[in-house]
Amino acid sequence: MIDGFLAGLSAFSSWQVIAGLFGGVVIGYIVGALPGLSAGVGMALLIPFTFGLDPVVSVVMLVTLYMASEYSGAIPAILMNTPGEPSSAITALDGYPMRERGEAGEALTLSILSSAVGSVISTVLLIFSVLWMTKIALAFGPAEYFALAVLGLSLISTLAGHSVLRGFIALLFGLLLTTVGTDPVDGVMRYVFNDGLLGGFPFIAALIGLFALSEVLRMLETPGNRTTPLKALPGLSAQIGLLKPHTGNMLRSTFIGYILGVIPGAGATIASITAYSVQKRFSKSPQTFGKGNPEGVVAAETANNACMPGALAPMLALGIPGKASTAVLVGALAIQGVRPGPLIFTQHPEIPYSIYIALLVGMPFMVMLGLFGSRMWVRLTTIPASVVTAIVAATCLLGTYSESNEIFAVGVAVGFGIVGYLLAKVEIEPAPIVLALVLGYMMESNFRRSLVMSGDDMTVFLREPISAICLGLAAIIFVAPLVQTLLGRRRRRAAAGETSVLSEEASR
Amino acid sequence: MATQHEESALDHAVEEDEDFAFRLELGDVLVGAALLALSITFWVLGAQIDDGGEGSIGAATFPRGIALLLGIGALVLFANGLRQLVAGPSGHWVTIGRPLRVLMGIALMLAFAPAMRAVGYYPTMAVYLAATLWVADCRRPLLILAYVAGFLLFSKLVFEMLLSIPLP
Amino acid sequence: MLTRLLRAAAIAASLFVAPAVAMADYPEKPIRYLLHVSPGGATDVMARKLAIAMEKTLGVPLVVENKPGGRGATQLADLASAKPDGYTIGAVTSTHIGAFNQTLKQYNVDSFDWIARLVNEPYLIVVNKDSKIKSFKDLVDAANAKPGSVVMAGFVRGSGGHFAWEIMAQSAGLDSKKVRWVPFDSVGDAVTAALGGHAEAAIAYVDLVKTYVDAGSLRVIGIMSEERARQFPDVPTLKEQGFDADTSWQQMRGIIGPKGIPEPIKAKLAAAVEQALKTPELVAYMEESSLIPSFQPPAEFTATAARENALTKEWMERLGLTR
Repeated sequence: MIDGFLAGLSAFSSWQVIAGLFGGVVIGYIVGALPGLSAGVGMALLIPFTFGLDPVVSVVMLVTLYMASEYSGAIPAILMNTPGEPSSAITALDGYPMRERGEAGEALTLSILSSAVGSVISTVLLIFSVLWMTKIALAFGPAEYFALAVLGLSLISTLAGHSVLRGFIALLFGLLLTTVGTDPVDGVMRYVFNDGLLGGFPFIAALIGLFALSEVLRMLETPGNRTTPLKALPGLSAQIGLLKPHTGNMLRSTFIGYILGVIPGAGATIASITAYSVQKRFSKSPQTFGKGNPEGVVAAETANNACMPGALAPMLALGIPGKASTAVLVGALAIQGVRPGPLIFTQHPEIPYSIYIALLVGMPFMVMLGLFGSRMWVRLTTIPASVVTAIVAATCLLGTYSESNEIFAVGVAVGFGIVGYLLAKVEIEPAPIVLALVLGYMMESNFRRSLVMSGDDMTVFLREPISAICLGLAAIIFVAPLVQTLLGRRRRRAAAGETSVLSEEASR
Repeated sequence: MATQHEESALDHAVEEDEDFAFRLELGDVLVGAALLALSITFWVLGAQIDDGGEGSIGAATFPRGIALLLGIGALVLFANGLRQLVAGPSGHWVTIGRPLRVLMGIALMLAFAPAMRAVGYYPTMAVYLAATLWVADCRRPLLILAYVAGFLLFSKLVFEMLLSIPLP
Repeated sequence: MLTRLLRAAAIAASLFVAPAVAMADYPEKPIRYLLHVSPGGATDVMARKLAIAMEKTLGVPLVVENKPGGRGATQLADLASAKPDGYTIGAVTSTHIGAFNQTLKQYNVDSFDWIARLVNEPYLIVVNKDSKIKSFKDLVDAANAKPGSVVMAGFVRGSGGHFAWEIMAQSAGLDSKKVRWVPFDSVGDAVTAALGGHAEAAIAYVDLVKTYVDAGSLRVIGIMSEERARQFPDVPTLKEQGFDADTSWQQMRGIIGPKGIPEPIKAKLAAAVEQALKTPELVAYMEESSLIPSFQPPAEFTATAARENALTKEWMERLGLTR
């Protein structure tokens, strides 16, 4: 390991590598903050320029871009309810209400600092456990993925808000939409009314619609000359002190993010959702989640940034690209004639170690940018709402187009924006819809794949230990809050007497 | 607001735009009905999906199963809403502020993709941004012009030049 | 970055200029090269290297545009609507021919001009290192002894890899009851399933499994080609193991264009491809990625495509995938 670090460090003596590091952070910052341009797309756009570069320079640039964009997605999520990256949709759930209360500076500070903590701890975990993690990555086959998806979907019970029925409707609505497109197992077409739907509804476009465009419509409801009052941020050391109450939260969320990052096909959005739900369970004030609880921002941001080093583990040690962004990294390395996989640590040790060093060295730079930014970006909230509304709408439409270079995706985003706006009016929230969009495909395709493998034997899900554990946990998570609500209801009814509560509860 | 009263008749109408409110239960009934229609559509069209043949779970099983569950959920929402609508006031309201502007915002969004297909990105975005700024209450022509020019420049610099994404 | 911008500007400008039908001068402006994949994958890398090499022969830039989505639908829609003047070409693989018969029935092999074949990749079978199966015969015996005990992982039903397996299975007298085909989201995912021991065996290519085989975590039990793969000199071909599977069924990559490109232009493009494939950069790349150079000019490539299409149709019917 020492030799590897030395090889990596010696690579960092060249100015090109340093330039690549800073360039990667800055471009990542921009790409992440632009809705529609996700880390994977940004990295893919950079690929042609890496052709002539040294392998270490190109990999350092791409990795720092990846790291920075995973963080900077939180900035528009907090300031404008516009997730810059899919995973920052979860950050927006509490970050945006905080901003509406004038606490944009605090939310941004928490997001950058918790991102940094998540990323650094996770990188250290990666360095020491990369080879061991391959076992976890390979342990997941179709049955396990199905069970994991079910476990994820069971989180609906914490995301659903106060009405179980409305939460379920949102979840089922999302699940139904994921069945559109080419069927994952038999290759037949389902509900494909337009060629653009052959691959299903474009996820990022749907997300931008549900969060950002529907928020644009909501903003049109109130006069445009208003601005949000902004609470002043404390000095730098006190700014860092904001993090103090969240130690346990960050450690849990880092662990969740790292492990879910390791599992190919899971990813940052699932990590954020999971950490958010877990924190809600642990929190002393779960009822304020979704209404601007800083714990939600910290959990989501820690987890999605901790996810990124985790995702590098199977990519480096197995050559398995678990996500779009790591797939681009594999491609970039392939152009240079470097094949990630079991042999990379002996054949090209400078590659993994320069990645580790880039993550550790790039982070302080990013934190500086972020802390400085948390003082600068908040000024955006002093711009009149009318201008913010229009610019957000325009950026989202442009970003959605550039994600896939398809006008059809723009139409999808607009459709989801309008539907999301209307559904939110009757208290059907976007979060469970997003949960379903993320997990629906994973659940169905792996369920059917498992049955093909086992020859239609349903017991396979209970025979595989990981799958059985996930399904058991899902059952507990799913049933526990229902029992809690029922017990609570009975207690309240006993206390409050009778009927006045009844009609209220029947509707919610 | 007072300074803008002379601008135009439409403008006048927009300024007078009042909140539009209805009972949450009515919203439930409408959304429930729409979702019920959606699930019925998916259920019916699901019958046409070629169901592979091998194994018990085919390509149509999941979509139709979910459509069935969503249909039940939507029906409950619909029925509950209807029951309470008849039973009398509950105090839950849905408010849409300035509905005319929201409608205009929706119309502009809907027009964006077809317009972009027809005349390309830059003219579409120029008109869209200017119109949305106007709808959102930014009424100073010079300011609108500046924002539009700035945004188009941003598209050109960041998207086309820095990220080399061709815009039609 | 600036040159890319200039190229983009040049293309934009050229759209407004009336095309002068002076074939002798072809090419006199940049050529758009449309891909059905996102940047970074094997097909993308190869296309970009090819574009750079062809630029040298043709004297104009080839601008690679990624049009992923709908298993080729986005790319083909753009390609089919382009003018057949040789200034818009596209990448093609065996997967496209499968799609013509399955999800993209609005097209068929005759909807496009087949300009040149580039490379071929033979299919092979890998198993986990811990598997008891050491040869293709072991696999056949295991499947016959206990039908359903072996499953074969690969890409979606109706893909090239699926047919490759069916061709192998037919040569061994196996059917889908004895060995079930398990479709994954990509060939890479299928290989991962074999790595994790979730599927006994997977159909893949040399390039995809080489690093795992070198590291000892996967074992190749047979390759469907005339000759052994240079990278795996110890792995016998199926023919050597006594199974007569059609070795001409391989994953192919080539270049197509909209229907109706004049013959001289096609010939010029094909000649540029042939030249490009001989440049040291591409020779080295193909070597490294275990691709077999298999250049074919337009006439032969058209025939190859028609033959592959007929075979695909036949297998689709046999497997009941045509409905």
